[in-house]
Amino acid sequence: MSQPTTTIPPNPPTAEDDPRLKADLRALGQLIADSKVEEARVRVKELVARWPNSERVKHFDKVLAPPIARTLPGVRGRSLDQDYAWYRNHAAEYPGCWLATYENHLVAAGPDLEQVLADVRERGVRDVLLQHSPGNAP
Amino acid sequence: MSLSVDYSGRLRFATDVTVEGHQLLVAIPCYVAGRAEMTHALMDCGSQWCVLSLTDARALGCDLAPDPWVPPMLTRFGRIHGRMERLVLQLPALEGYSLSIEATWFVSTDWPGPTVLGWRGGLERFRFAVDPYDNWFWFGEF
Repeated sequence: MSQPTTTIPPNPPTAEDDPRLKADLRALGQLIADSKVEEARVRVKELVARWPNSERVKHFDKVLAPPIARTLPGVRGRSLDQDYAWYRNHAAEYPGCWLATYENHLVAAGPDLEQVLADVRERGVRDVLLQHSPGNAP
Repeated sequence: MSLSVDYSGRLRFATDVTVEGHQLLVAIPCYVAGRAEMTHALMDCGSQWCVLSLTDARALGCDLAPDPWVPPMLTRFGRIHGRMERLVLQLPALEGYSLSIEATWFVSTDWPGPTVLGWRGGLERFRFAVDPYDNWFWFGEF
């Protein structure tokens, strides 16, 4: 008895494959390259209407949007004067290292930023200031 | 004549900060992409876009593959290829209220420089002033 055969239909072409979309994206890229960003912002809105299913167009719509600034009522930072003073007095002791300080305390130090960030999180300290000490790590 | 502008917050910027061998003449302490740690960004009105340092991009887990549809960016280090990403920047106020900015960043493995708070996607849509007398950086929404 022969096995039933199934035919897998080819994937339907996506919007991204359409040569007209590619031409539109090239034109959009040229506006960005020419620093005509305001024109690119207008053009990308037209492309969103023309290519509503294109992920590339959606991404350009997102990144070309003007930045949005929002005041954060009640949110304050902290003075960094003690952090800078600590850095001036001690950074040379840690050449080539990332230094995470909180006021006049060193929270973590090392040449690998990701490790320093992991150490900071492990110690449960928030709002550290990250600075980098010149030189080569030993 | 009296000229006055209202701002909602201000912070103290640092000068001549060195980050990974790069001198930041005007260094703005900030939080990038919701990270709990403050870092410095070079304020550069002449930079076409905000740019993430490669160290910061890696620490944030950004996709580093260049986007073929994004044209290269011309920089003082030459043309760099990369991608554009939308990440929130927070300016922590020492006085007044902090400001969050939904900003667009160029991310590139070709970029050897520091994190830059540039014009497009960043500085272009909030009010700011730099007072070098006592290193205040003032900011606020339009």
